[in-house]
Amino acid sequence: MKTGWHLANQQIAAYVGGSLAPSDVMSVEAHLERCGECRTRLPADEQWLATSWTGIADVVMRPRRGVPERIVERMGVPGHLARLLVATPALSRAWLSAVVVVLVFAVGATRMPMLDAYSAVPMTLVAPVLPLAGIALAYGRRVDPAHELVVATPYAGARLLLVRAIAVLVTAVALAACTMPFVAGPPLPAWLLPALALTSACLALSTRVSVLRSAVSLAAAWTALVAGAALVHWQDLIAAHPLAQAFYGSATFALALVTYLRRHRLDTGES
Amino acid sequence: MTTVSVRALCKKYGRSLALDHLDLDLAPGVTGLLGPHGAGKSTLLRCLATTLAPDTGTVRALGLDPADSRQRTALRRRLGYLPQNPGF
Repeated sequence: MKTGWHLANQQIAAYVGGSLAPSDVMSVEAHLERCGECRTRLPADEQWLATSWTGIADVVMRPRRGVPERIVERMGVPGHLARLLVATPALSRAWLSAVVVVLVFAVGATRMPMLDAYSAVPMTLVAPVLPLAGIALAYGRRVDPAHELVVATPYAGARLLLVRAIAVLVTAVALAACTMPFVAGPPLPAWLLPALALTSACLALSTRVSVLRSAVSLAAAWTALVAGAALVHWQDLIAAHPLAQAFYGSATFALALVTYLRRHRLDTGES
Repeated sequence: MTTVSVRALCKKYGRSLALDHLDLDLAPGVTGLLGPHGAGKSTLLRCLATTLAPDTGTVRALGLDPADSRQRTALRRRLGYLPQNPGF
C-alpha cells in the first residue's frame, strides 16, 4: 500500500535505536505496516530474522500435546515414546469406554442370583480376553489408520508392538482390577495369570500369523475353554486351581521367551 | 553414484501383478515417478520405504538392504516417508 509521506531518516534511526517515545513508536509502526518503501529502509539482521521465523514456525506448527500424553510423560516416559503410546488405536476413548462397559456387565453377571453357581465365570471369561482384544486393535494395517506412516519409522515392528501391547495389558488389567471390590473372590484375582499367559501367547503366535488373527484365535479358544468347563462344572479348575495357576505362570514365562527369541519375525517389512 | 538400486523386483496382490521384474537405479537428487493408475508407483515407493516386502527381487537404498531387519531399521532412521493416505 502506498502512503503520501515517508519516515525521515532520523525517525528511522531513533526507532531502530529504541530512543523514540512510546506514542511515536506506535505511530511509526502503524506507518511501517502500510508502507513497503519505509520497511525496506529498516536495517535487518537476516540471520536473526531467519532464526526467529524458524523458531516461531516450530512453535506454531508443533502439534499440541493432549492430556493423556502429558500424564504419560509425567510418569517418566520419554516424549517420543509417550506420543507413540497415546497414538495406540486400542487406547482411544472408544476402546476404554468399551472395556469399562464390558467389565460392568461382567460384574453385574457375577451378582445375578440365577448365576450363583457360576459367579467366577464372567470375570474368568472376560478379563483375560480384554488385553487380547486391545492388542488386536493396537498394531496393524487393518486397525491403525496411520499404520503405513508408523511402519516406516525405526520404532516399527517388534519394539512398537511390544510397547503398545504392554500399555494395553497394563490398562486392561488395571481396569479389571478396579472391579475387585465388587466381586467376591481371593485377594489375588484368578484371571490375572491367564491374562498374562494369553497376552504372551498372542505375541508369540504373532511371529507366525498376523496380530489380529492371533488375538482373535486365542480369544475364541479361551471363550470355548471357559464355557465348556462351566458346562461340566469344572470352572474352578480352569483358572483358580493352583495347578492351573502354575501352568499359566510357566506358560507366560515360556511364551515371553519364545517371543523374545523370534522378535525379528514381528516385523517382516510387510504393512 | 547410486542411492537406490532395484533388481528384478516383483510384487503381486493376489492375481494382480503390480511390479514385474523391475530394474531401477536412482542417482542423488529429486526424482519424479510418472505413470497411469495401477502402474505400480505406490507399490514401488512402499517397497523403497520398507513398508512392503517384495515377493522376489532385491532393493538397496543408501547401500542398505530392507530385507535384513537390522539394515531395515538403519534405513528407517534415515528415510522420510509420507504416504498417500497418512491416516491423520
